[in-house]
Amino acid sequence: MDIRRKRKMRYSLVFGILILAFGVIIVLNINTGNVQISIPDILKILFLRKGGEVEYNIIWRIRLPRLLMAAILGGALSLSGFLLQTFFANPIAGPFILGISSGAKMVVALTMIYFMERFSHVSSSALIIAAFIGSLISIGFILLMSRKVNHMATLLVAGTMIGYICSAITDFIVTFAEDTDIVNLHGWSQGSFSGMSWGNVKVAFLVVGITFLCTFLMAKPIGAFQMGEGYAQSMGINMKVFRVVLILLSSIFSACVTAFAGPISFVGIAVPFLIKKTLGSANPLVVIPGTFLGGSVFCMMCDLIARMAFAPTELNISTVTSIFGAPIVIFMMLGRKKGK
Amino acid sequence: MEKQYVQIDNLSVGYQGKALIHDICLGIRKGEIVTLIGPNGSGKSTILKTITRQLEKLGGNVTFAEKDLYKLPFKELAKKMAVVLTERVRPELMTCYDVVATGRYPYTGYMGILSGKDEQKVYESLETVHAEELAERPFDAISDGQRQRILLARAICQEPELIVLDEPTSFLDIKYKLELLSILRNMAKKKGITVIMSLHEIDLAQKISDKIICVRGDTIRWYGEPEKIFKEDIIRELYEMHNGYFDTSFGSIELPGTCGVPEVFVLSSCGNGIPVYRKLQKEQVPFAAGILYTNDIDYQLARYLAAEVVTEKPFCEISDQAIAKALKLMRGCKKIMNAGVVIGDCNRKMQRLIDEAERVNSKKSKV
Amino acid sequence: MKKINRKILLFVMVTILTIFSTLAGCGQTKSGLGAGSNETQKEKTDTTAQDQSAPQIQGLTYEKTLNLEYAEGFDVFYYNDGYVLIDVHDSAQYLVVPEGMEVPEGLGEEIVVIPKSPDTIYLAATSAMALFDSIDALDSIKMSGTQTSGWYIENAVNAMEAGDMVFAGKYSEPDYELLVDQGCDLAIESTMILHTPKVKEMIEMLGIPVFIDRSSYENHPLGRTEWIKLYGALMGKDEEAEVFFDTQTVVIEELKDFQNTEKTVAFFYVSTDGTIVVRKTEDYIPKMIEIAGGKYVFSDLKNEQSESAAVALTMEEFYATAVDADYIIYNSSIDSEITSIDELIGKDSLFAEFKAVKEGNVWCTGKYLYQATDIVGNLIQDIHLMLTDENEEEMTFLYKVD
Repeated sequence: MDIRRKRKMRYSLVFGILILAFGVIIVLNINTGNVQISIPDILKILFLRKGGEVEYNIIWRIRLPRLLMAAILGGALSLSGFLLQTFFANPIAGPFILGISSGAKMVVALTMIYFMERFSHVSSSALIIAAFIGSLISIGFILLMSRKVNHMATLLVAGTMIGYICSAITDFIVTFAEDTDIVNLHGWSQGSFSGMSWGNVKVAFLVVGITFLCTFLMAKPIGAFQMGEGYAQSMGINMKVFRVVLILLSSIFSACVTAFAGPISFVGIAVPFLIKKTLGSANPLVVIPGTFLGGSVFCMMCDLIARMAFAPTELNISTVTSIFGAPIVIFMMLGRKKGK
Repeated sequence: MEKQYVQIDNLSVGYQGKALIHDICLGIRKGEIVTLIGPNGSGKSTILKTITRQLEKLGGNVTFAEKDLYKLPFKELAKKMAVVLTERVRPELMTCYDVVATGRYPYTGYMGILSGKDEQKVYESLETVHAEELAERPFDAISDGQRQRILLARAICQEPELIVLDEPTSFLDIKYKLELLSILRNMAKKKGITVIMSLHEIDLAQKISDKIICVRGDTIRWYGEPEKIFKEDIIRELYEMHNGYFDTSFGSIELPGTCGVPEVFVLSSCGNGIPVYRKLQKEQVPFAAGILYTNDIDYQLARYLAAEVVTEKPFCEISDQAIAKALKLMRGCKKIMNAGVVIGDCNRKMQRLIDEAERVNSKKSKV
Repeated sequence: MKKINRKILLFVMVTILTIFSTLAGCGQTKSGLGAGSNETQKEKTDTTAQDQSAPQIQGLTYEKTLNLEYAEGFDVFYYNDGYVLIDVHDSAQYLVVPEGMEVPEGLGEEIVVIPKSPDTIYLAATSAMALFDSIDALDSIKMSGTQTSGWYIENAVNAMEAGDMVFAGKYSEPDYELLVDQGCDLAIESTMILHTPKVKEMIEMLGIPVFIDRSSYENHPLGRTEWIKLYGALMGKDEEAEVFFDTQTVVIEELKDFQNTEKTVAFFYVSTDGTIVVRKTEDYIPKMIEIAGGKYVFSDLKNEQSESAAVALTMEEFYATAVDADYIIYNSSIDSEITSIDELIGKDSLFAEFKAVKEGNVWCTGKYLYQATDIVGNLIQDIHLMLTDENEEEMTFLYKVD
């Protein structure tokens, strides 16, 4: 009984810290920027919706949407990673291991070229939809293959292969394309939270929110799955459906992130690992919300650093997540070794 | 024909559409312990996996408590059947309690939270396998034997009517082997839980099972009670043993003895010869044994290990032919050993052999 | 099995839906292009024709059309009270509204409203800087999309060093907060912004109008310079623009009767992957060579794949035509400048076989060239001088390479 209480205390502590960090980072993010706005003014703008037009625009139109997207997409990325790590029982599986970002990039490249050639310009929503479709294509292949293979590890190989094929097609297209048409393809694939609008936030919130709820409702089968497929099935889970659902949920998360912000690395691999270590448990009931929260905090923090470290030049968000994420994970892994 | 509790009709099992074993027909009664035996790769696991529905059946049907096994929804099946598999389980950050608690999943609500009653059941299961003290320890920090018990506890916790185990004793030492099997025995007899498992240790299989299924080739070669199955020729054919014997009376395995002209003659009775036989066997010395009554336990072993055995019918006086035969062999041997003969009314003539032995041995020592 | 079929059906439905919404979105964007831009005709001096081609704007009376000599990419229409409509062909229409005046009611949705004489401009189109400088409107540019080190225009560099102009992030990553904070009233972007629609939409969402400069699409060198009249109309400095432009056209006048020397000139640079990048025949550089009295070595080179003026050739293709060119001008605006003939041969040993190399007629442009949109006409003079073997000292952009 004692251990159960200890566990509950540990969970409460970790969640408490996460929520606190969440709040602090939000405040920091709103407060920081190239333009100084005093805190009372910020509060007035946020809650009373009153303020000078300049400050109002900066807070409401530039900073808030951006940090909300970082929070939402950061959580989505980490949950996507968590789901895939559970599925493959592999701690280094990441959200894009099934070739999603390559598929998205391919369709984005095609869209960019098509629109630029025909209409000389392309709308950002077209690119968002293109990225989403590209992700869906990759997911579709994976799902089709998952019905044929016996070992799920084979899917990992399949995903990597899809990634390579899509990259090859993209390179092929790029070779023949005008430089000017695809000059920002590289920029797109770096990933960034800048320039988010409230429209983006609303759609992302809806998609990620619904998927999060579905994931949370799957907590029980995911917990059973941690014992392995054989045992999970014996406990009453329909493995065929479960596999499909798990991949689908994970893919929707990563497709959403790729569509709005481009591929962002490392968050999906590091955060679930860190959260599980901190919570000391793999129980999905706590790990799922914990991972989401952790991912949000992590991403918001990294975005803050990317924005401000060398202002006005923005760092690439993946650079920041990797620089901060990798040492922390190494540190925690070493700590575990010592403990044993 | 009345359907048994578990009725398997013309079941075909295999991978990817190719039937490994077909036309499996057998019936199992409630509360029976049924064991599959057979050589490596014969398909025991395949059959078990098909019964647990991990693998798709390729034909035929299985009826379980008068319901079609393959039409049962997984959730309902989970309340009726539990498994202990050979796969290595590697759950992260789970204690033994957590692992056993997963057995309650078919009974918990939507979010999988355990009620007080569920927790009670978990502890009971741990008690049944004598693993209460392991509850709070991390699952990956205990020994293989302990893990197997925890997994069994997990299966018990599922409150099934049928437990399927795939080689549950493979990693266990003798103590845990016996413990596990006795737990299974108790469950079957006291709670009426049917057990279907596969074992490599055929000696244990013989002792614990109500029925034995012999898997060989592409069919079930033999199915029945151990008494019918555990005959020497059946076991030999089943496992294609060329290099030894399986003693069906005791369920023991013996390596072959050395053939050839005997070099040593061992006189013994009442089991005194056994250690000598074994020593000679290890040194690969062909030997002769006698005169043994066929109900003497020395005879049980000598008939396998000795190159020649001189025997006599139980409870009879030793015949002169037997004596003559023994003397002839003794003279042909280089050495005669007296392992310890108990002389009684019936085998008084053995004294003659003993004297002869002494005479030969003392002659040798003088030379 | 039923469950899986349902899932696949769902997936297919979602995909179809997404495709539909894409098409819907695409339909919208198509209509978003300037509806009226294709209606305008080429200007002629005939006023009646002008009256007819000028777009009707409710509430405004058309007055006159700007007279353009070489530029084909835009038109400027003047209306009463200082309203000006700038029509950039194949791009958009911009209504310049004088300070204190109202935006006319019922104005077409796709016409972009920009204030007259904006004083806080974010300039991310490098080719426009020189034009602003030449009409003395540089001080209206407060934010630049290029770092100080990236500018060759003296006044621009001075302004940045003095802090009057600040770096506000490159076109694909502008500092939105700075733009809003400084009260930016116009963002002048190059066509590159069309590749980052998110940025353009964000800027517009912040209430800052976006003007896309297309001067680099002009085929005639003076066509590029004539954009100064557009910016003059925008800034209310029409006179200054006119005057400046006339000085540039002088060079054309002077060379009008010059007999073409028939000497061939090759203009190119060597790309990092070894291909030779030249201009298509219909481009402004070959035009300048022609005006200066020479012949561009490629008489009929087209770009099949796109609108771009640059064409990449393999060394083989280039060699076949250019080996006998009399002059070589190395284009340093993309690659770096070359300081010796040996450096050129170092890029590809085949260059040693070229006639121009053997005769020592290798020239190079300074990096200054591509930013000097205002005096690009001077390059004509330079080439003319080169062809007539005259003084290198008088050249603005070219220098001889030994």
